[in-house]
Amino acid sequence: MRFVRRGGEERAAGRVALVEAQLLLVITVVVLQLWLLTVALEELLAGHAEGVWWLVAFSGLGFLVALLVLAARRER
Amino acid sequence: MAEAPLGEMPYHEQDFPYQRTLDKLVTRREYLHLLTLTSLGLFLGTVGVALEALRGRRRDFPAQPVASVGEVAEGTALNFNYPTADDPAILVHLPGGRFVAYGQRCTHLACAVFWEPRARVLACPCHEGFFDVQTGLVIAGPPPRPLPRIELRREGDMLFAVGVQG
Repeated sequence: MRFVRRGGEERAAGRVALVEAQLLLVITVVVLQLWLLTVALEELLAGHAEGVWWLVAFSGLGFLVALLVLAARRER
Repeated sequence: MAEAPLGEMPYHEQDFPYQRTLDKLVTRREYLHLLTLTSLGLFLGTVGVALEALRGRRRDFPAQPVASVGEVAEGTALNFNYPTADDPAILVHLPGGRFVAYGQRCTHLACAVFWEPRARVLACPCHEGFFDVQTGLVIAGPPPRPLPRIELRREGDMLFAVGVQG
């Protein structure tokens, strides 16, 4: 990735791209978590309890990824 | 930025004036925070659903006499109501001597299931749903979940319904 520290404008544009990339990642995570929640509800209504902890684990992993993406926004 | 006077506004904006200067802009970073909170909410929601699924859905009701053992011949069924008079249920005397009982409402659209002795299944005539008579699990058709199982207790010659599972 090319990163040239010249004008403030170019740096600002780079930051916007970074935040938009973070947004895209977290939106993807949230959509996946929503899907996991619907699968968990389906399992509850079907009376199956065996596989639900996998769904919880993946949803928790998704939240951790969202947290990491959020934490990565700070400039070095 | 100042808003245009009312007279200079387009006709549709006069009917529904929208004060843009009062609008609170949400930045991308604020939206990122909001989405992360949403992610936490979805995770906690999944945990709640999982706990509910693991807790089981056993409900105790007062014991109610259903029938005497000799009243239901082996391989036949008897309809009764449990846990209330508005809840149809079915008791099946399985070949081999074991008794099982289930709520009679199909979990698809609440048609009454019946005992099909030749195929040894509980069948729903409305949309051809079939349930395993041993477990109440769905074998075929559109029902989304098993039949609620009624727990039975045998005291001497009498069978009592004592609870509902599922």
